Amino acid sequence: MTGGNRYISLGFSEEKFKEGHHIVYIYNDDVERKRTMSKFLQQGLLDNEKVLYLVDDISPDDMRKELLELGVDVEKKQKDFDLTKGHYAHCPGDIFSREFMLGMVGDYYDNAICEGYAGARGAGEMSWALTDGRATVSELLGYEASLNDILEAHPLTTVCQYDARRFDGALLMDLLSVHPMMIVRGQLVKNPCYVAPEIFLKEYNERIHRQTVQHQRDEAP
Amino acid sequence: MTPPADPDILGKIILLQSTLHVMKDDMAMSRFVCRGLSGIPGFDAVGMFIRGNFFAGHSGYLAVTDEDCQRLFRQLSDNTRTQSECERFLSKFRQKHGVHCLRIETSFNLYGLLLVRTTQEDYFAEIRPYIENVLNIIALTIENSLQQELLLQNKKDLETLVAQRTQELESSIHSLQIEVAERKQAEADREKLQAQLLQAQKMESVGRLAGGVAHDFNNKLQTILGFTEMALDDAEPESPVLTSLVEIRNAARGAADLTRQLLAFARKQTISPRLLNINTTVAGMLKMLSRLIGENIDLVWKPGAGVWQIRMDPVQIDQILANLTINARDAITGVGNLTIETDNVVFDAEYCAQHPEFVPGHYVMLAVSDTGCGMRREVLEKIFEPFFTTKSLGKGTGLGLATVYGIVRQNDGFINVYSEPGSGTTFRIYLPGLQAPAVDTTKDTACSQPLRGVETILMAEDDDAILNLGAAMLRKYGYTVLTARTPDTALTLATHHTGPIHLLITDVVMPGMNGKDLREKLCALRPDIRCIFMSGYTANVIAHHGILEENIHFLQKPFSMKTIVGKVREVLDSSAM
Repeated sequence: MTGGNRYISLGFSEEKFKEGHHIVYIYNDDVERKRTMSKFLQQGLLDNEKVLYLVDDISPDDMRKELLELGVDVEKKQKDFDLTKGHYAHCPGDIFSREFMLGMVGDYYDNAICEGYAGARGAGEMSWALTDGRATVSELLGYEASLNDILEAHPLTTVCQYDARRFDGALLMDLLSVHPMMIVRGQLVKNPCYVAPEIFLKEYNERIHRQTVQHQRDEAP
Repeated sequence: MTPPADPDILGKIILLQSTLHVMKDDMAMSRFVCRGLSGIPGFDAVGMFIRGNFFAGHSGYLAVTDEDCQRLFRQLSDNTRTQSECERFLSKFRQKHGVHCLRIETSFNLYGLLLVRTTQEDYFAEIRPYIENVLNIIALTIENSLQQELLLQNKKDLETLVAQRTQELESSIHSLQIEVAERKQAEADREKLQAQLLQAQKMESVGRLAGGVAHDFNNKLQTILGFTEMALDDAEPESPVLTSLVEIRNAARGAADLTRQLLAFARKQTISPRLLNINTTVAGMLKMLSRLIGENIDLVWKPGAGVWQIRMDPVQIDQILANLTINARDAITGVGNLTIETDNVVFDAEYCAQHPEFVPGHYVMLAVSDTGCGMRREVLEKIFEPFFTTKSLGKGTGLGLATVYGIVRQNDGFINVYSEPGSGTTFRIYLPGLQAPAVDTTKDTACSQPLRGVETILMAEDDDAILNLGAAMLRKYGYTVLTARTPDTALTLATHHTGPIHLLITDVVMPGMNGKDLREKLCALRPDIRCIFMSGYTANVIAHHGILEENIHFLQKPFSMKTIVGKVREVLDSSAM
């Protein structure tokens, strides 16, 4: 599941976890989200990690101010902290590319290690991905499932943020299913709904196929 | 609760419990739970019915419709149903549709249903309590959101209520302010009315006093004037007393004028009203008024067009204009203007409610304005009181405006005075108008017939001096005069006198019998007898409020010799009785 050998603190408790976890954070409260993520990011900066935060619906400058207010040392650690707008980083040309995304994750970790950091962690607002037709649900779920494999080799500890107010309940359950760990009420827990990527993708594709057939049957005269 | 055999299943259910709170609405919640439960091998969450809406699970199992859920929900929600009845409904539902139906409920309310299809009945029975626990959290979440909505609504209602109450309070304060203002106004109106009443009572009292004094005084004057005139007639042209007699006569005439004014104020002046055009009456006076005001004051006459007729003694219009003109002249120092105007005016009920002294109706306005010194308020309040004057000693009698007041009131009119110190004064007199354009009714009534006569006259008067004077005056002009100091004496004389009696001259007020009754009794004895009433005032015996009835001949005391013989001749020569 995770390829790193280092045990790190994620900022939520004293407990140490192996680096390279793929974590999902589903929220519907922005204040809680900022508080939760600031702990995760601050801990990375404290532990000599390269930190990436892809934001959405807020400018990087505003997010920087908010993180400062929440105690994240973004000024002193400017070079250690990459704060960018999510869709610029993820979708050059506004076209979602699973390969590009997965490659970017691997490169970010590798570069951090090369630069002398102890490790790297990243958090990203993923709610943007399904807006304006940037990606299909299948593409997003495929990316999330495949990311688990990438993190085996490039253990970038990753938190995927999803705004529950912007998604269907069934899709949220699917998104949960592809993340081995999850943050619930500010705490990191093992995800009991997690399904191994290959199994999830197989079941998902079968489900989609069934639905398509059913749909065609319903549409048939 | 016994933990389920598979800890992963328990974990999934706990996950559902702990993640439900982020779901945005009923649909997200139901689809999340259905997808989660359907992830358990052998289970298919067919759908969830929450608060009247059915949300299908992902399997697309179509054996249960929205209507089926609605019906079951109604049955389970019916508080009259027993627990066993509800279990029976659920059992039937399961048999019919092949699904388990779990209730989404708290202790008090049923919010929805979860429909689950399973191929592992035993395992379902084992994990059912855990699923029910999830459903219980859903019910609590719903209840919590409802309470929050209720709280928000209550807050909104409370704010609305507070705003409403605030508005009511503001409205009450406004009403209270209006009420206070109205009360103050009512109080001011009451005080004003009281002051007006007091003023009216005061004027009435003064009028009665003035009228009484004038009457008695008139009789004395009559004697002085009459005997003086007779003495003047008898005196030789070179007589040394001639000048004195003329002075006595002039003084007596002046005193008679004063008493006449007092009688006018007291509304005891006897008048002969007739229809007249006020414009014609005023126009006829303009020359005299111009002389009265002098050269430095311009007289401006603005007659109103189509003014209504009034019923009034034209002599009274003369009196009004003369008095007001003199006052205006005295108010103007140097040069100035005196304007006389007439117009038609209608006072409606609304106007009269604001001006209690006025009565609704049609009026002809006679306005006299000057550009003189004006009057202060304290002066204005007293100007109609007899003997009140601002003129220096000997220059004014203080009876001019009192006379005007009496005349106007006698004719059921009103006076309004507006004055600004330093700017001038306007008197507006409103006289009842008869709604027909006025026509000129002025005609020359001067009599040029000879004054002497040979007829027999019966004169009844309880004042010896006047009786003797009157008799002497008439005899001087050739008449035979029978004198009676009482009405009874008059009747006796009329009964026993063998010759004709052509005329009765009687005082109006006498002890025992008034002049009117005496005439009636005498008419019974001598139907052809004619009659002249004489009086210092009328006392309502022959005149109503001082206004003579038609065909009544009246001689105002004090009278001159020329007046009495003229009147006697006029009556004796007239065709009317």
